[in-house]
Order: sequence, then structure tokens, then C-alpha cells
Amino acid sequence: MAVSYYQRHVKWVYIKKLLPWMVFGVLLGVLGGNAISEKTFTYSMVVIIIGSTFMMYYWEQQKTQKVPSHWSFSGLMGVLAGFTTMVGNLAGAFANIYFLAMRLPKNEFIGTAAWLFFIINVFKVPFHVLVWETINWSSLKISATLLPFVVLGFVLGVQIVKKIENDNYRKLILLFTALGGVAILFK
Amino acid sequence: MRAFITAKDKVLNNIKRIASRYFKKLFFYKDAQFQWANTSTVVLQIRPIFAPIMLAEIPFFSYAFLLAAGSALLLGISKAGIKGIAALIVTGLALVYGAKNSTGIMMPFSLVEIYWPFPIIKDT
Repeated sequence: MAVSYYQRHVKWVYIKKLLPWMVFGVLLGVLGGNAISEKTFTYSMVVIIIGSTFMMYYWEQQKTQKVPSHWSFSGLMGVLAGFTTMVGNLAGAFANIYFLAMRLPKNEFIGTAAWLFFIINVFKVPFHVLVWETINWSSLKISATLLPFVVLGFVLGVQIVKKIENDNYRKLILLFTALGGVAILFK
Repeated sequence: MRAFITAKDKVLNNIKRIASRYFKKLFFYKDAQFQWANTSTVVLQIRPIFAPIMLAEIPFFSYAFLLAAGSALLLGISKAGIKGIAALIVTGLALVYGAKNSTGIMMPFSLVEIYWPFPIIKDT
């Protein structure tokens, strides 16, 4: 588990700073997701997917990754990360910017992010079970059915990660993601 | 004029008939037919291998399930440290199971973070 391995690198002070904002974002996502229709939820997810994709693309194109250090920027990133992790399981695009803004060294970056996401994911579970009812026996059965493919993917990934040298595949993935986001609208 | 059927053809026809009956019984639902599925793909209803744990609305051999399985495969690959594919996984699962449902299906996997000595920052 990444969380246990990187425990010694965790900077709790940054987690304490970001966590309340993320919790607020998650709660916004829970309330918003519960109030809107499935169709509006789908539109929100598409906006998040395409927004995250463009943000990742923009971020990769930037030569100098300067970000504002004002607390409101971190707060905004925290709320957005909380909201996007609840609505689309996609907090990385925003949370990573926060950690970059804090200028954490690599191991501290990974350890702190791993623990933050672990805490926030545990926090999300009751809302998925009790409020949204998106985690239920049916969803667990589907997850169980998909588990062998995840394990197979992990084994494949271990082989791939050793071989990948260039970042060209990233642009292709971003393109596919944006196309997939649009495809959801026509489902 | 009656078509002349040899003994060999009769035997072959019988074999085909019996084989197709058992094949259908083994692999296909009784009402096997092409259906217009939720994912706007033509789906052949085939008996799922994991019948007890597979939902009836997504047949095991269908484009929809292939997309879900492909997304799960990508999820596993991302767990190994390939970054930047989280949005693609979310998209694939949302296409198959719907936007809101897919978040619940993905949650159990989000809780498990596997340590692998290629510490690349992942999208979560």
C-alpha cells in the first residue's frame, strides 16, 4: 500500500490545510449530485472530464509551472478537487496543482497526496452508500466482476511502465479522453 | 425433383443439429437474440460465465462489457504507475454503467493503492 510505504514522507500540515476545503468540495458534490437529475449529473461529469483533460494538457505545455501562492487559490483547488473526486473520481488534476504550489519534494508530494486521497476516499464511502446509494450489492457485484481485469491490467502495467520512455502516448490518451467525454453526451 | 441426400449428409446434418442445440444450451440464453442495448450497441445475449455475479443487463460477451473490462484493465495499468489515464477510465465506465453509477463501481478500487517501486504521481 502506497499509504503505508510513504507514511514517513507525509507532510500532515499540508493535509490539514487542504482537507477542510476538499471535505467542503465533497459535501458540495454530494448535495449537488443528489439534487440534480441523472442527465445533469452526466453533463457535470463531462464538463469535469473535458476540463481536467484540458487542464492536464495545458499544464504539460507550460514551461514554467508557476502557480499563485495565495491561500484562496489553494482553497479553490481544494474545493474543486473535493467536488471532482465526488462527481467523477478525478481529483488529481486539481490536487496536484495545489501540491506543486506548495513546492513539495517528490517523495513528500507522493506520500502526502496518497494519504490525502486515501482519507478523502474513505470519507466519501458513507455518502456513496447512504446518500447516493451508488455503492450497493449490484455495484459491488460489478466491481467484483471487473476485479480480474484490474489485476490483469496491473500485471500488464508493471511490464509497460518499465518500457515507456516518451510522453507521446499522453497526448493520445488526452485526445481519447476528450472524445470519450463527448461520447457520454450522445449515450 | 427431390434433392438427393446421401447418408453422409444425413449424419452431418444430425451432428450439426445436436451440436447447435447443445452449444445454444451451453452458451446462449434461451431467448438469444440481438438487442438494442443501453450503450447503443448491438448486443448478442450470451450466457455470462460468471452468471451469479454478473448483472443481467450487461451480457458477458457484449461491446458494453468489453468497454467496461477495457476500462478495468486500464484501471489496473494506472495502479501500476502509468499516469494520466484516470479520466479515460472514468469515461469508459460512465459510458457503460451511467455517470453516477460508475462512481460507486469505481470506489472500491480507489480505496486500494498498491505500492510499486515506480513512484509516479497518479490522477486520483
